[in-house]
Amino acid sequence: MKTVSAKLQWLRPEQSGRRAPPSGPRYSTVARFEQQRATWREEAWSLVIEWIEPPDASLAHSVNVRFLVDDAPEHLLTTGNHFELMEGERIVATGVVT
Amino acid sequence: MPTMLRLIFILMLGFSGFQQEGYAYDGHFTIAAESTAARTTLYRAVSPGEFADAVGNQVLRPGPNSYATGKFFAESAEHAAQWGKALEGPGKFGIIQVEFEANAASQFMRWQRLDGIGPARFGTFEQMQPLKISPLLGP
Repeated sequence: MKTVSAKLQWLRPEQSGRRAPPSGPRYSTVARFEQQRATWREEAWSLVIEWIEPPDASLAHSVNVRFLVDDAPEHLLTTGNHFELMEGERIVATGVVT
Repeated sequence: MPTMLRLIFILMLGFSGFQQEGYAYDGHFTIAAESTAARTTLYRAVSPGEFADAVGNQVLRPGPNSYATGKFFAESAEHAAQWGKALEGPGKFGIIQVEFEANAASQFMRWQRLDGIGPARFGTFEQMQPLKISPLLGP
């Protein structure tokens, strides 16, 4: 299964984010890549996030990411691709594959 | 005339039977289910800790490393098991069955297909007022 590194930025509560980032070191939720916006409600894929380091004071950190299942569109895990981590309709973090 | 009488008799029998069973006649002699008592049952693969809390206390609430705003659900137990296996590993999860008012469950955000497994829903804690949480598979 393809695993890549990424930079993740958790949103603050006033930005519609969580009260605090998950405690980690592993978290999984539905992701929305820029390329998926039109079809996201029809077909979506979950990412598994593994902390390389804890979030810093600005709630940013380096992580490893992979899709939850084998059959996912791994071509999306390409350097420079942007994604959002979603809890329902709420964006809780933004990320970029590094 | 005998044909007309037979038709009236059949309609009377059929209509009274449907009323007893709680169905309604809609003018086209088709069956429409009542919506007043409608419930929607959803399924969720959970950790042993969430299993004990949800079943024991009949509540769904955020855990220490989980979603802050709500919960994901599968629409079938089989799909919940597939998500449990992918997230926690074989044999490391339980499955709970959660009944909601159909009107409430229809407000949950829904994906037609998530992770290539099947349809999924996300209910926020504000939307969720489970009527009953039952154990389906122990962790």
